[in-house]
Amino acid sequence: MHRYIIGRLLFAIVVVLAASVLVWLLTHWVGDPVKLLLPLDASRDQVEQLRSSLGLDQPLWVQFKAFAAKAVRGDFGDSLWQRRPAMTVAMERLPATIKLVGAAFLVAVILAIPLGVLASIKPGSALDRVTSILALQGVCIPDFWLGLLMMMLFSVKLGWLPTSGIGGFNYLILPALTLSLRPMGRMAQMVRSAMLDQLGEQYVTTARAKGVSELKVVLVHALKNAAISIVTIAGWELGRMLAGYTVVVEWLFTWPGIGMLVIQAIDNWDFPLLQASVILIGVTVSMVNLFVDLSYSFFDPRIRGED
Amino acid sequence: MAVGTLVRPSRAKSALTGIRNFSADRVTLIFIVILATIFLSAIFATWIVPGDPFKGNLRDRLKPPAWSEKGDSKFMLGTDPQGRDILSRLIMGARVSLTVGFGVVAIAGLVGTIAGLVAGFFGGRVDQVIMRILDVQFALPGMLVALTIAGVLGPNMKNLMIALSVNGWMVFARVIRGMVLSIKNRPFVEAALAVGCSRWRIVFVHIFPHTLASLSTLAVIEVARIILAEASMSFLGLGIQPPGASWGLMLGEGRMYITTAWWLVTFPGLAIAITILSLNMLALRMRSYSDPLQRRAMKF
Repeated sequence: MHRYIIGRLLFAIVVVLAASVLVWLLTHWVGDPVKLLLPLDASRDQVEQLRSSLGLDQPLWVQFKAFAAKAVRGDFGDSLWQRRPAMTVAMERLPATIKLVGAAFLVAVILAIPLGVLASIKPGSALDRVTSILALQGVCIPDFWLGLLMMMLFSVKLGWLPTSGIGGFNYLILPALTLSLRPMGRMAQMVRSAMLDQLGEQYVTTARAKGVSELKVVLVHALKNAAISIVTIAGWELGRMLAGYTVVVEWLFTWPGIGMLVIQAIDNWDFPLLQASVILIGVTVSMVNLFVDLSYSFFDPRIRGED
Repeated sequence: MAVGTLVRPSRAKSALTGIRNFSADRVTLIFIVILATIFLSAIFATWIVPGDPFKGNLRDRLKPPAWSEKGDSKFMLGTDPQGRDILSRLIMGARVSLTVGFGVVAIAGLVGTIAGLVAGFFGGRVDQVIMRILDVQFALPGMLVALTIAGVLGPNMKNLMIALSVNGWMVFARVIRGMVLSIKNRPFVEAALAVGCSRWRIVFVHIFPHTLASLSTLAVIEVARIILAEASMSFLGLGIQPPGASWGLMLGEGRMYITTAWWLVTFPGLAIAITILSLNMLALRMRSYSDPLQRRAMKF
């Protein structure tokens, strides 16, 4: 059990480190920071001077060590765009993203699990068809397009909800719904197949033969055993929402979260801010993954026993 | 007599499955026809566009589709704020989507397949190194990495394809490796070794062909995924740049006009959805053809 936890923890650290190296290399080496800081007509001497004062003439390895030493303390330098510490700017945006992703995840889980379970009880039924269509929609329809269509219907035509921005609960509905659709479809499908696998197992037949009520067979016996697959897929979807889907949805609804900040940082050529926000998202996603990995031991006693 | 009674129901049954297969195939046929149309219009785009997709006349700006009251028969699906014909831009956009989709899958598929073949067949340290890189990259926020690459290199089609390729090879590597692991213990590999084939020859000439069926299905699914990714990145302004035509870019441009011009965002989104749906349906069908066990389990 301890070895499992330590292994997963080390892996999370490696992932964050890899993300940092990658982002640093991209912003520091591929995109030249000197070009950003100096005016276009700067002389060669000025360029060289700035280079050595920023330490850019040092070997790459030395430069990365200097970056990493500051980064572990959350110091990425000042944002060029906001003229404030980059990490502070990124941290300020995190709550809005967590609120949006959290709401979307909740909607997706609350709808997907019952739908998947009900579909697995009667394969081929109307409800099963609905689940399939929902899953297909999740794969084929761009979520930001659905968001635009919903915006046209609910905000422009009917005037029920605001089109964009952040505010009360009203502002959350459309973005959260848009963000939830893709993961919801896939999750419903996965719950269905995990439940179908379990319902075909012998212990289910045994339970039925003993006279356990069907409701109990499905909800207590099968669902509990399907839980590990369900948690895996739910965690995976949560990670993907944080690591990408939310960028497009935040951009569409001008939701001031960290995903939108990434695009703003790129648009403003603000590399310190880009580093800070991408690494912050990387850390958040790794923490979600770690949490999911650790929750396995709760659902599967076999992992607990291993050492 | 006994034979006859045995044969008859099974014949009726096979006729039934025949009909069922046919109706299932008809669905596939529809998707194939749609895909063929999209492909042909992408290939012949420059000849078949009804108007200029890149330059418009401001006098024709924001015309609704031809069938609505204020529509103009010259612009079947209407025009955008710069007076450009939407249909023409959609057709040029098909070219972009398919180029990016197939281009990225070709690059990522090649790298991923070679990595998977080598990792699976040679095993040992090579396998471990490749699999660890793969694990870490799977855990990275892929879309963000792609956005950063495209943003830093400067948004254009080439850099977009680089960004998406960097993120696309892992799926191929993982699937191919899994297949190689099960294939490499089969007797024909042992026989090839016995007659003195080199290891590289075994990997690429003997084992690789066995992965082709699954590889092509996976490639079709990946093309669909990449087309969606291209649309998302262009929508964010980090893909194809104006005045170029991309479905995602058109959605991004039309987003400001949703209160007045519904057609700007409706048609490009529809184009993306139909293309991706058709590709996925094709992949589903391809899988069921290569695997008879799935063919029975499938339902349309």
